Amino acid sequence: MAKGLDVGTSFIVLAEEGSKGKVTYKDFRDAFYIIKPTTPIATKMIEKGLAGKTFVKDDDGSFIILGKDAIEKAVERNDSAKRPMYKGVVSSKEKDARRILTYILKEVSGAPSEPGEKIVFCVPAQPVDQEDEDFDVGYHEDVIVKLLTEVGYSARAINEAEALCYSELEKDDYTGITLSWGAGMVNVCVMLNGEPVVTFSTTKSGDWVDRMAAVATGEPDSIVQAEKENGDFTVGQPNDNQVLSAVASYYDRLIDYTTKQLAAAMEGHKSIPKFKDPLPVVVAGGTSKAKGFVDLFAKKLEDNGFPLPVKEVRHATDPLHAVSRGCLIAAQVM
Amino acid sequence: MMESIVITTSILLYGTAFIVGFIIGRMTVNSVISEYTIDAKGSFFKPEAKKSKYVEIDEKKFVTSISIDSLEKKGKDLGTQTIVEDDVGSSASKLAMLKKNK
Repeated sequence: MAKGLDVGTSFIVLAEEGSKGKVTYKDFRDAFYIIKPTTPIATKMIEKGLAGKTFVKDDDGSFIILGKDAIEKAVERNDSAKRPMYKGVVSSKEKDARRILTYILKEVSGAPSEPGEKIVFCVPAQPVDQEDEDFDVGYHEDVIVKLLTEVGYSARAINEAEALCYSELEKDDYTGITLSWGAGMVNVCVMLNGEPVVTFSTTKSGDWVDRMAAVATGEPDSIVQAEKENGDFTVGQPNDNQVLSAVASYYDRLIDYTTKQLAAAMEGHKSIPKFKDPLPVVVAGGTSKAKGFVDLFAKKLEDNGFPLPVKEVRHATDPLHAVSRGCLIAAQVM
Repeated sequence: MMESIVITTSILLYGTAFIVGFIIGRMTVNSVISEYTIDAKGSFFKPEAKKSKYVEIDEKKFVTSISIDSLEKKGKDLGTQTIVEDDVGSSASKLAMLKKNK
């Protein structure tokens, strides 16, 4: 048996093969919110109020609410939930975040079905648009390998967009371009016959949209995120709701920025082969689920002079699970 | 007259040399940065071998142990499960065949 694990800034998704012809996905929102009671009575009241929620109690008496319950609680208090990861990686400086990520990953991945069960998890590529010494993919990878090994798995990392290629480019003989639009980053892979040629990432994605819309409207990020995920808006189109209008506008700018980065990276690059046929471009990830996203992305790709011939731009079959599915396929082959 | 021709020729010569040098420099720097940044470092199945002629010390950040023993599980289990029809095994077989034939 083997498992695939998508360790994302916003979602952690585990994929495993169930009975023949079935795959089980387990999704968990990668967020936490800490409440520290000041009196014993407050402790009892808070604990009672958290009945039915996902939470843990720390030895200093504080309650750590996890997952979507953390976001709901933060919104309730007009505050923002925290993330154990930032822009695709865990930070060595944030001890609390590492501890909570360790807890979440151990709970979501569960115990291995046999000692040394194979598990493949995804990691982002080096970003092209930011130099940040806190962005350390090697450290991030080592943290996850260590914790999964402690649980009893044999763990290996795969590039996020490469995993997406293995999930989505089967009918294209594993030749094409994939973009994984996560919360923190956009990861890109150009693949030729199953071999990655180019991989890179950019550091602006769904969280950037939330942040910018929050600044523009004066709302906390969590409220913008909740409005974005539950509201009805079309990318690039005005909306009666000011938060959604801002979100739609920043989505437009994000797609414009990413397609420009993509065109700049590919233009005249020596490693890009001479593809004999036009390429499929597949997009996945939570950020790509907004209404009108794929159409606008295809248009911007053309407008911004993407230098390779494109056959089609399509959504992954299951945009939220595609990366973990790719990780599962890689785990079964390795 | 002669002097002004010499000065003009010198200006043109130095100017051209500067522009050519600048363009070559920019092209070289751009290609070095771009290839360093985005070229795939092998694949999951065939990671790029380290160049043996370079001897480097491993400066990767050491991962300290993190204990989660102090976290007492109180609420419900983590994660929402969904089961979908998907013959992922056949996709894995196809990919394995491709890798084997390379």
